[in-house]
Amino acid sequence: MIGFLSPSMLADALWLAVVGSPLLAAGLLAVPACRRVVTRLVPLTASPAIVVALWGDWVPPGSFDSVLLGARFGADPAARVFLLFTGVLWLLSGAYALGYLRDDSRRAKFFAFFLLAMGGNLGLIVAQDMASFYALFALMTFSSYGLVLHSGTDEARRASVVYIVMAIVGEAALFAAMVVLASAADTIVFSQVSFAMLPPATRQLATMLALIGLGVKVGVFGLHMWLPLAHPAAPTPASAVLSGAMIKAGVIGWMRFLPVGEVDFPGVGALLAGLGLLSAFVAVLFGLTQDNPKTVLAYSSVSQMGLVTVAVGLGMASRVAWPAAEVAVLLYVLHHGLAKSALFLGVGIADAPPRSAVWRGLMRAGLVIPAAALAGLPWTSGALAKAALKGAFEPVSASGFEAVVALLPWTAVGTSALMVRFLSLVWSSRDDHHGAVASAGMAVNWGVSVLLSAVVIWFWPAWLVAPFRAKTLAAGPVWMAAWPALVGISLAAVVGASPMLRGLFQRPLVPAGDLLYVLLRVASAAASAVAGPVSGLCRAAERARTIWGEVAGKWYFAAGGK
Amino acid sequence: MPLLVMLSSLVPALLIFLLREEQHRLRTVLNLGGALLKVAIVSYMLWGVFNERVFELRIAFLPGLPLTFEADALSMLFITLSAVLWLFTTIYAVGYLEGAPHRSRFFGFFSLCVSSTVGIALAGDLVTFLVFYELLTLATYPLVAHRGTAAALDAAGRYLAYTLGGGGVLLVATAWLYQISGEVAFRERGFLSSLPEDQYGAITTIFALLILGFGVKAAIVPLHGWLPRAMVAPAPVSALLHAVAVVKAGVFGIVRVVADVYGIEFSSRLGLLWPLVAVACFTIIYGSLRALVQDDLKRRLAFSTVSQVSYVVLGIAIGTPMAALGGIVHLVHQGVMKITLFFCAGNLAETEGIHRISEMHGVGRRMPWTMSAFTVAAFGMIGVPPVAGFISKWYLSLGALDDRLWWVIAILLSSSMLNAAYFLPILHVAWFGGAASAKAVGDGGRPIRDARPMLVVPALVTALLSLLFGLLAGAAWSPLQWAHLIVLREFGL
Repeated sequence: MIGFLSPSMLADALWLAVVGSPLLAAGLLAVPACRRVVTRLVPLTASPAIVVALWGDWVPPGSFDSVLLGARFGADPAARVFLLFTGVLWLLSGAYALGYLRDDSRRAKFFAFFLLAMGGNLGLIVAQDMASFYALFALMTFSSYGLVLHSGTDEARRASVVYIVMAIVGEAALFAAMVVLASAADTIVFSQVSFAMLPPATRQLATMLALIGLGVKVGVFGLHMWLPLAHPAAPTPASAVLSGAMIKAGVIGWMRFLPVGEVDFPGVGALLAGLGLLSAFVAVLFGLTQDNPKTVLAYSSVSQMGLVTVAVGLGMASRVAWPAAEVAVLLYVLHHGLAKSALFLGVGIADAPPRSAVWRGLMRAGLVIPAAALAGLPWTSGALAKAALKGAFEPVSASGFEAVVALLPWTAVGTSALMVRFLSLVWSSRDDHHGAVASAGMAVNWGVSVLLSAVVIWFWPAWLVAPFRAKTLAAGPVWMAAWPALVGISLAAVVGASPMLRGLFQRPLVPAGDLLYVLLRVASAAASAVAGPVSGLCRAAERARTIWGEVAGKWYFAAGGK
Repeated sequence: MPLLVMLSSLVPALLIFLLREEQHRLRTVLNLGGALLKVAIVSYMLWGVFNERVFELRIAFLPGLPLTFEADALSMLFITLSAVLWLFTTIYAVGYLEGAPHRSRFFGFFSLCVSSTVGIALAGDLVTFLVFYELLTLATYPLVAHRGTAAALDAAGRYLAYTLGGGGVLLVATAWLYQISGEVAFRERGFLSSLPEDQYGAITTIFALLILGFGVKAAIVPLHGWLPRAMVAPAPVSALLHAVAVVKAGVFGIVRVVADVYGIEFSSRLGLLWPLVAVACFTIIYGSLRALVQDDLKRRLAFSTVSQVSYVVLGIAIGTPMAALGGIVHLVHQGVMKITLFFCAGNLAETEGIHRISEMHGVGRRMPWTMSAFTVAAFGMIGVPPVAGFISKWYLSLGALDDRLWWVIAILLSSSMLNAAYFLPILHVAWFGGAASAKAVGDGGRPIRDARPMLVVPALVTALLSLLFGLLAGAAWSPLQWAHLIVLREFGL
């Protein structure tokens, strides 16, 4: 009797509930009789995860030896941070989706994929062994395909193909990383891998593979092309979790698979930081010329994840710098997750704006709060996160990262301009919108998400936030946070005021997916050149050429040349 | 005990031949009774072998060469697989062939096939193995030809030509081996390492001949030509060919030769294994590439088998314990996953007359159970966890790394990506295809009308097994743990 209710049994039940409750709900959606009730319960399935995030200290780790290759679950402090914002985002987006998809005939299908992806995303955060992490990561990745494709438009179809192809490449690289690591370290439990003991060549190979495999999810520059296509194509509540929660799965994966804090990898670290900075700047440039607000937000995600990548790069370069870099990473993902999803959910509200002027005003104001946070304006969550990021570089500013430190504020200039662009796009969304007003439930959920994005980071998690709270609120740092945003906003204002300059931004300079456009052109040329002599040998090459031709011809040349 | 297992399908086989066509109730009772009995006996033997009990049987055959049967861990893996899958295939076949002509003939040969498979699995020496191997060939021929159409007869003829050719080569190789060594009994870690060095040339040639012979049924490229053609046979026969018996018998033969005739270490020392690795890798990639361009669903699945079965060959040829573990366990994993896929293909053909992938638009909405089973198995084939295929790939990769064969990882990953490239579009078409028309009429374009329960349930059960074998790979009863036992015994660890 006592044995049956022992604390460890309860903990095991809780671990199962974190992953299992969304999956169980997804299964029940297949039964028509349960569908109505279960659909209403979708948001609640994220609650076990939120419970673990808030009170994870008291939950002992769980081992399930018979699952996969011996599954381990546990909530280390980093996992709890990820779990909180991820859980909250899924809950809010789930509740929002109930309203957003109220007239969609295929909403059961949407929720099935939504729940599967949720189970994967929440589970991978608490997975403490490679096999479960990989399984749950794959569950999330493949289920999201259904979310990206949901609307069934040409745009969604194109996005879903790019998404799945890149995702599979990522999965393959991650598998290789995992095997190399497990083979050399002789364990699959993350905490038991001691990177310092591995042969350097193996360590390097595993690191590169993990960087690529998870980098696809994070959207590191060069692996980001799916992101500005897929995030806007998905229904709005799915965009919110894609951009808010799921890309961060790549970050926690990095924290698990990379030798951060254990080994110095100056070269790789610098490379990563450089790539991160490149993402941060270039994505802003691409994003500024987009005319779909959700695409602008997606590019902003690429840019912001670039900053997280910079912090990870710093931790890679020097193990001494990792503790501070880790804090920066955690605060940054917390801030970005909440703010970005508030923005995405806001787009859904602005697309079906309230009729009364007061509510419309409130809606506009509500959009400004998370936008200002991304720009890093003083007293926002972004200011705190950026302070943490800057703080991470203080101890090592002399070791080759000066350029990074100098450039960091300028990324905020870009982001501010991007947010102005975003706001001008959503604000100007036509009032002649025919018909549906966002439901009250959607509005409330969005309101809560805006509120949480503004408030949470000042109070939770206390151990992380405390050192930065006072620092960010002092006068000096306020100016430090304010100037890049002011420069960005002024630049945007100048462009907005001059008709000639504004003309430059009227339509996308580069189609969403940018590099893909170039790559596909090259690939199709190369495939044509190669396919000639080879086609006799192998019909598959022929087929590949037609596929490339189709992809490139139909989608990209059309998109670029219209 | 081995005799009982064999009789549990041999007796029904003979009785069924005696039945008149319309006695279908009695026939079904015999079929299912035999299948259930066999599962029961096999479970008992499993327990015994796990506890190191010896089940042996000798029957006088040739002078000095009796037929010997012995149940070791490896035989039990194969025999359990075939007994369990046979049970589901029988249920499926009864449903599939409801009302079709010549059912007595069909089920008679069907049971005969499984009896021969039991013989192959339990054979204690190469000669016994060969006898039942040939018996299997002969018993399968009428099944492939069952429909009696020109295409079926052509496929069956080709099947016979390929496999009898392979059998002839095996006979020569076995005789030669016996002449050199005076021994043919399987033994853990082989019996040839004691031969003098001047015989190495001969035994190398014999090895090549044996692989060539078994390679036919194992569908190693370029000996695979019969397999994609044989897909004209009814779905239960495809299941038998691809998952339960035929292909498995070939690859099981290769495992026996490498592990119990030559010994993994000895064959590796003779340099016999690296060509096998190369051939397996080539087959894996070639099969996938060919699968990619097929529009006929069963043909695509057939080429997929060509590719997947060589995982087993690869595992045993790499020669490290981990890789052998991955290869041997894939014998089971590939079996349950591929049988699911063929059951589903059969359901599509039976219910909606769908044979081509291009006809599958939106079929997931109409036949959700069938396509759910298909989806699980397809993800397993790609190697996505938690489905069983991941476990095989994991250990194959670890095993390859143990021998510093980095490039094998690249092959396995390319194969995974190719698998994704030919399975995911099927899933896309089935679940998302025809979305535009579905939008117009809601979800009810055509009513949900899945295949009959007799056809759907076996597919769902085997899909569930594919899932559980991966998800609960760590459990004591999983195929992985049994394969672990085999590897421990084969490597003498």
